[in-house]
Amino acid sequence: MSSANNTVSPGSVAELYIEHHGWLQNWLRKKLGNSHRAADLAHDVFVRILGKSHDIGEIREPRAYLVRIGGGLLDDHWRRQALEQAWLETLAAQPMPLAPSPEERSLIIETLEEISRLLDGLPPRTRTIFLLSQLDGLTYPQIAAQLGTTVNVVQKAMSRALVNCYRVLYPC
Amino acid sequence: MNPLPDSAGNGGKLPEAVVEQAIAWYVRLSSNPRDEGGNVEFARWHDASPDHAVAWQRMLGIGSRLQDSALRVPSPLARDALNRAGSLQGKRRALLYGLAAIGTSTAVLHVLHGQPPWSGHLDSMLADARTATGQRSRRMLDDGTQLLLNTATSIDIRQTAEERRIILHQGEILVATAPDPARPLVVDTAAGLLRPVGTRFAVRREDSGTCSVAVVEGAVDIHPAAAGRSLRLAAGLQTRFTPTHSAPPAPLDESRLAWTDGFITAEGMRLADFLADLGRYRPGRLRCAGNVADLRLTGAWPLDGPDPADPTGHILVSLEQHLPVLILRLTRYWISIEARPEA
Repeated sequence: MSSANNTVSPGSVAELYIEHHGWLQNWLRKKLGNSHRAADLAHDVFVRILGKSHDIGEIREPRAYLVRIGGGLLDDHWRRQALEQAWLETLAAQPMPLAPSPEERSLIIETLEEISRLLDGLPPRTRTIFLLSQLDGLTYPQIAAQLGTTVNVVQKAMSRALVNCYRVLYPC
Repeated sequence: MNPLPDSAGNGGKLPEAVVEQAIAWYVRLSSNPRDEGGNVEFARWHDASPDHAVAWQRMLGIGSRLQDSALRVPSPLARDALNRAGSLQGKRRALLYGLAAIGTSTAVLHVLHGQPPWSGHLDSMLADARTATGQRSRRMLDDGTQLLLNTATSIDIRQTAEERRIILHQGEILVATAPDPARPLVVDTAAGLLRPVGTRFAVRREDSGTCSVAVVEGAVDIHPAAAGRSLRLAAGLQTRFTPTHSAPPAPLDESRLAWTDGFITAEGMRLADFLADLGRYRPGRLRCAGNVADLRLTGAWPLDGPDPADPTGHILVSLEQHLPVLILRLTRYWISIEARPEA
């Protein structure tokens, strides 16, 4: 949550790197508690910036900008970590042993990441309602009956989840 | 995650109202696919403008994305894993906030009267960001402005070319603004508007409708809704205001920001007042008998304790260990604190 007042001279990712890379890596290390991972993520942040270097000259708050991109990558990192662990727990909780191949597993984690990103920030119940509708194909009255609630609540949750998905897919 | 290309261009912007209409149609038609009158009306809406058609295509795209996922992961397993991951991520975030250096000492003394209100309002279902009772979360706007949402909070975020507006429906937020001279940031509360001047500040909407503001850095201009003049609150100060009146500024009480680090603190606080504060983080009723209301206590406790089913339960245990009180759990949602009988 710190903001830096120093600005980078226009047009130079190299200067941004020289001025702030160490600071960024340190910021990430504090968040992650792991310096190797922090170095990787700091690297990814600059790769990300190079991908959109056309507007680099407009950055007035370089550290806030780096934190924004770094924060997004941290979220992705934690999301993936949480999903990998969650998937293992899910498998372990099944009555029949399941052992997907490594290829299947990585496809599954990727799929879960995509869904999780669409639903980011939604309360658990809204997520459940949305997934029962979209993944399980239940009707609204079926969902309402299963969760002991009303169709009206299901409709509101669906609207809310769709707004969320829309904003993730079409941010403007 | 890339949007599907469509005739509005990849990621092309549609008017918000059109997107809302498309969502309303999607929900209405999904609720009752055999709604024939609705189908006719829908066709008319769909054909009325190219934007409508694109918005509808995007709705269907969201649906088919999810349905494709169901082919790759059996749905019950996917739901189970996503739920588990959700709570893991929640803990991860809590840990992140918990890194701040507030010592976890506990000291003690005495109890209360006070009736914390029932928590759990069902309004603001459609708010842009919300937290349930006991949750906290973080949100970064695309301009870099950071928001922390405290327990039982809901906000809407409206960004236009002219301004960035955060509407606080309920609860408490900490705002760390990213400067954007072209688009001032405004926090809209029931009691009035706040216009920060490059700053970090917390604002809380109380059930009475009164708002309180605490400024950590920079300054905030307070414009009570029905008052002619505004008040500038500088860093290190806090105050409360209603639509017609603002109280004289007082020095910032740091402890009221402890939640941003994942803590609740008390310093020489009456038990009744402490329970009123703690009650914001717990669903249900938390009350104490009149003869313990004035006990005083001091301490700092993490808001996320070891029991995920009752994240603040450890705080009650701690009160019982340090104060001459007994915790009576009528149910998990109805807790009464009484004086402990003399041995």
